[in-house]
Amino acid sequence: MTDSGQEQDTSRLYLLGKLTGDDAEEFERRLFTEEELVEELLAAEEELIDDFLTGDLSTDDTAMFEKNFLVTAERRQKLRLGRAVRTYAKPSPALKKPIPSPAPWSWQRLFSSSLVRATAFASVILLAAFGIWRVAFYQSDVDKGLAALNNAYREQRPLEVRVSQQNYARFSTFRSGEPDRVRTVELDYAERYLRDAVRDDPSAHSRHALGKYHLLQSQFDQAIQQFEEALKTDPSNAAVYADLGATWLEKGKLSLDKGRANPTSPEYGRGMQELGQSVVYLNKALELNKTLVEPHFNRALAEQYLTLYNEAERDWQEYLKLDSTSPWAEEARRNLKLLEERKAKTSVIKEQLIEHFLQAYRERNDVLAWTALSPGRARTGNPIVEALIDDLLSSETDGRWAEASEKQEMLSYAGKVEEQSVQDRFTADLAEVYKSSTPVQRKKLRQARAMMKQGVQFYDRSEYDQAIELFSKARELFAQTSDDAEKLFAEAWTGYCHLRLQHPEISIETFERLSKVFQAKTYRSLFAQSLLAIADALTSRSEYSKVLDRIRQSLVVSEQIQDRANAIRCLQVETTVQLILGNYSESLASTFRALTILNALPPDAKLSWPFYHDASIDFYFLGMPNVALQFENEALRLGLEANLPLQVSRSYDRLALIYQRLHNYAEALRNCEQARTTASKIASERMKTNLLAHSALHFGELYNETGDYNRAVESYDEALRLYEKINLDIYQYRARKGKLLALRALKNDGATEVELAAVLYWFERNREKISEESYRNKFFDTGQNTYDLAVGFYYDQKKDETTALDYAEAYRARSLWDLMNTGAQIVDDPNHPQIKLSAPVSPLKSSEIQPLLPLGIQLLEYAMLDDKVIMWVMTKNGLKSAHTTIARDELDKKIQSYLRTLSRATKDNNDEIIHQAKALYGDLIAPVESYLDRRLLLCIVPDKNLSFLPFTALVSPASGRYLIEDFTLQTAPSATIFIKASQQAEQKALNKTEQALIVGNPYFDREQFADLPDLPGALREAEQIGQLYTATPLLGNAATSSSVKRLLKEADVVHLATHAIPDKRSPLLSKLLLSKHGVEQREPHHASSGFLTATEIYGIKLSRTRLVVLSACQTGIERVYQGEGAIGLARPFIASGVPVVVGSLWPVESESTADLMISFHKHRKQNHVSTVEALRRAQLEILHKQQPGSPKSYGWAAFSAIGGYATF
Amino acid sequence: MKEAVLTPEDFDRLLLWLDPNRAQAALKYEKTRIRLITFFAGGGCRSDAERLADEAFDRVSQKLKDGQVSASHGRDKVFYFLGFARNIRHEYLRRINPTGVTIPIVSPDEKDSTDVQTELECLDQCMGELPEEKRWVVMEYYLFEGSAKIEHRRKIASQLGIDVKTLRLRVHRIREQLKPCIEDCLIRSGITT
Repeated sequence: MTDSGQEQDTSRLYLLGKLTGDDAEEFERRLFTEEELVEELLAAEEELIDDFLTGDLSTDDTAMFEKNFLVTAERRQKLRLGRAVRTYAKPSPALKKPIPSPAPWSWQRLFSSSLVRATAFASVILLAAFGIWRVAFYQSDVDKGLAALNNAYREQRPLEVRVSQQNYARFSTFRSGEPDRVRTVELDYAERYLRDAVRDDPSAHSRHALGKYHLLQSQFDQAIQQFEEALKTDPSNAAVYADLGATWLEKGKLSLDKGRANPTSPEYGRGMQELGQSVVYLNKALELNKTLVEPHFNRALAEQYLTLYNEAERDWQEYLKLDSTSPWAEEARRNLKLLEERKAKTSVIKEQLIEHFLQAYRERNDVLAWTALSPGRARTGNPIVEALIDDLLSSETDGRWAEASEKQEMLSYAGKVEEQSVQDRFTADLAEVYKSSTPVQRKKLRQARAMMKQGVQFYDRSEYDQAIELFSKARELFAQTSDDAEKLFAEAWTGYCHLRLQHPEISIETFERLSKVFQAKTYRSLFAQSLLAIADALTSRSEYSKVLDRIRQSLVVSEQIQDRANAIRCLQVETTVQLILGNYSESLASTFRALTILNALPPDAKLSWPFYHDASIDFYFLGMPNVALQFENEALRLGLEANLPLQVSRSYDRLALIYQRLHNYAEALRNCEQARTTASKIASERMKTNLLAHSALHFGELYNETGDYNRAVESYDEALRLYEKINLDIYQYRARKGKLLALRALKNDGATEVELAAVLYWFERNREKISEESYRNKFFDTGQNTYDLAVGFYYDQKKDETTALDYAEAYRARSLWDLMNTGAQIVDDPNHPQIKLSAPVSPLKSSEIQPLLPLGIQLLEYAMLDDKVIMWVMTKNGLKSAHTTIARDELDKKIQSYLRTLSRATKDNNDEIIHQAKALYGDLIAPVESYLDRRLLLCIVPDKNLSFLPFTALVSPASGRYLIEDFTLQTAPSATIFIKASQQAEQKALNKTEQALIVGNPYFDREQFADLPDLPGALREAEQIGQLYTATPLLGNAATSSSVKRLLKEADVVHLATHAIPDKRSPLLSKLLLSKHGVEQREPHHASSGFLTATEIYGIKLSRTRLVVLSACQTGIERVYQGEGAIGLARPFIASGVPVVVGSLWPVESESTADLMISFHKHRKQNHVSTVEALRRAQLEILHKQQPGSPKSYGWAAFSAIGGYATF
Repeated sequence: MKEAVLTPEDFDRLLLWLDPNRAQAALKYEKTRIRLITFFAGGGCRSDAERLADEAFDRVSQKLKDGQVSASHGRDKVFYFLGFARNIRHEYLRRINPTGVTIPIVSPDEKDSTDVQTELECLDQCMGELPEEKRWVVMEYYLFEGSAKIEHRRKIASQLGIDVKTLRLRVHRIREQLKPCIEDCLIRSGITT
């Protein structure tokens, strides 16, 4: 919200028709969204009328008032009323005296009068009476508002949650088709009272009340804002936490609804997170006051939506202990009943399915038969088919031939139905085998099947070696009876055992071979399962891109054949891979999608366990350990219930991790021990070793955290020894990193140096297995601090500034470097585009960079560590370093504060801006100031959040000069990229004549981007720049995306003055708006999309273009990855071979940007200076034009040249 | 201005476009409608605000029907209406004052003195129905002119323990409260508003 005086001024200008262009559009947009502004505007109307009536308007304003304001009858009517009020209030001479006041006086004033002193006693009596009245009858605005709110929803409540102090009303959604029973008048009263209350007294009490109003209006973000404000002044208010939790619950439900409408969208993940957040706040409310009924009620609901059914059941029961008689209790009972029915329903489903199939067989109802056959399919086969074969064989053994014959018929029927329904021949082939087999063959088949069953039992108990033996024997027997279908099935099970035994090579070989056979034989369900098994095996090898490819293939087949069990397993692998890649929200989305499918299937602890287990770690990483605990307890319950030692051990291990996060080390160590004990009971030697290794790893982490570093090193060594024994390298990086931290804490430099090399080796090995660019970036993002450790170690302990710089260079902009060297392979999925990278290319070392540096250059590279910022100054002839001791958090705060202040630059806060700019200069430039040469071009290589900083605008505390006044500056993502881009620039410098592509104010799709203004400044900018280059600019409709894409490749210089739209989902979807055509010129739509996306730019090879200027908002940077650095629309141009790109750091204003850009190109073309120098001169011109005392604008500082050194 | 032509099918399509969840769609519809009404009210079309809001829905609905709106419109769909609202208001203002000429203001002296007297009587009657403090605030607020006005209002605000902005809004709300009473009174007195 802006300053009130300023608001009033803007309203007046708007009413007088003096607000034009962008300002008017911006004001109207606000008018459309800020309810308070409408009231403000109406009040401003009255003020304007009054000023008119009292002659307080200027001549100019009077004319505007008469011409623009009084256009409507109602305003003229308002003028009449205003005049009447003025006349009515016109003072008589006697009235012209100090204000007679009905408002309360001060006590001092009261007792200063002798007359009043005399009546003091009477006053005290009156005041006492007032006190009684206030207690007994007085209602504050908050009370009145809450009463109105209760009245408004007296008959029907709009939300399922229970809002504190809100009376019971039946919950009814719009879906019921019933008329709305909300009393809107009461609602209006409530809003008025509660807004007034907050305006007059913004206390926790009034904010809590207004928050409830917003919550009931489904204005969740506004409700959260009010509740959070309330908690700032009253942090122990359980009821506020309860309502905050209720808000997050409703917000989560809404996201889940959206997710259901589009299951591949990220809404499921968001919804799960929001529900988790709800539980966090509800827990807090109950922690503060466990007798509050609302959080009990809401927590049970939240758990129900989170599919934590057991927890929900327990909480409903708890609720009923507190409230067993109210209508709310009735709702609680209804929910409890639903949960009980769910349990009862799911436990009889298997039997029901068989009954349904038998009925369908009798009626030859193929549709019903498939409905019965379809849902039970599992990796162990179809239970109905399995039961039919077992019955067939046992009937024969007992001599019940007629029954055997009927079962054979049924089996054939099942095969026919399956083939007809989903074109899967597996059961049909089985039926043929059993039909044509001899009694001797059937005896062997019986034996083989018994072995298969026993093998599966061993598998379930994690006794894989015994299982393999049985599956192999069964396979032999099936082969002897020419039962190819079951022979292949037995082979698949052997493959599953190898998978669990972490033999990825054997598993992959087995399933690659089987998948081809299954596909050829149209065993589609087994084909989908084999693709999934390959994906599973590839996970052990950390080949995540391939995993996701196989998973998507398997999911498609599973959905086609309605194999929900396999679809669930696919989602499970996807969940795990997304988790490994640090995509917790995506992981939760897959989890919830799977749990939704699971609800429709017979209960299967083995199928459900992984989702609860993975959801727990998602919540853990999302900073909700208590929610994680609930999910893991549910997983443990499932594991114990189904007697799954492997899963139980893992659940204990996870619980240990969560307790560790909660700093409950006693519980953490106890659960870790439980994990070890359970693991030691597992028969499979390999699996046991794996779990014991994992426990040792976890013990290491716990000891590290509790400061017992010697025991930590011992535990890590034990983990590494055990992992080596089973040849499993997936945890090498984690174990070695833990050991490295322990060794550093023990100050064992020799061992630290050795371990550091090993950790980074494993880190790079894991990274190179990921081919998707975004996943590589995220992987680096989460593990980048290992490189920080290396930089810090070599800089501090080894005093080796060169090696420290090599490590600093080794982690930044690596994917961009890969892209520049090996190009991009685009996966052009419209919603989820991806860039696939080839094998990584090693970055340059400082010893390679230095000789390649041009003479006139000095590089200033930063590394932001946890406790310091290191800076290196490198020239062709030397390397020097310095550092500032400052915590990373503190520096981040300084950067944020500076950028925030800068974005609100006015004449009043310029001193503050300069103060902060000086402080940052002190931290980042002063330590190396003496190493810098003002005659050389300064290229800054920022790190992490320094990428957001406009270095040009930093101010020297000594001279008071901006850095740009002393240096010609540019930036580069890394020194390695600076060298590469400089080489590209050198090649492109040979061309002396420049062909330019200039785009200005394209006629972008006004419907799709209705809230974006027209850019008349961009039009002027493009026209004038076009003249400088003697080029015809593409303006308005002519600037179609198809023309721009075509002409890009032929241009030396590209200038795009338009809107840039960053995309929150993926930087690959970020776009520059262009013309879509057809609207004005009636041309066909097919050729132009109306924008140029980052993905498209990555896909174009710009072998000619030497300079791209992105004269739009925030084109230089959208987000920063710890390792990869800045990602914005400038980056794809650099990746595509453009050596220099001019982009912006934050949203810029159209008109002033046009001035800057025209001046920049003038210097470039008329004064023949380089791009970087031309930009500097244009920026200095604007800087020096600003009058002292006038509002400072820092728009000039938003732009910087990114890339390499260029003479053009 | 054409009459609203939103059929049940059009309405369903509009709701679906606003949100796949019908309950949420209904909330968004209401929210958008309120925003449109306030937008028109703030833009000088208060008496026709509801009708103009419906016109905006009609136009968007027609666009949807013609398949000219992307189903996956990425931004806040409420803003989509803003462009239409601007056009509608522009058309409305041009219609009520097509030539754009300055409308002459009738001063009290030129008006029928009976009307003026009736207005004052109605105002007096309605002011009498206000609580004492509210009446006092209005009377004080409109007491002075010129620079004295600003200073006096600052004092009133200070005495009430609020800032001038809040005072201005408070006066506005009191006037809003007065408005229906005065309109009723004028109609009863035979003067159309």
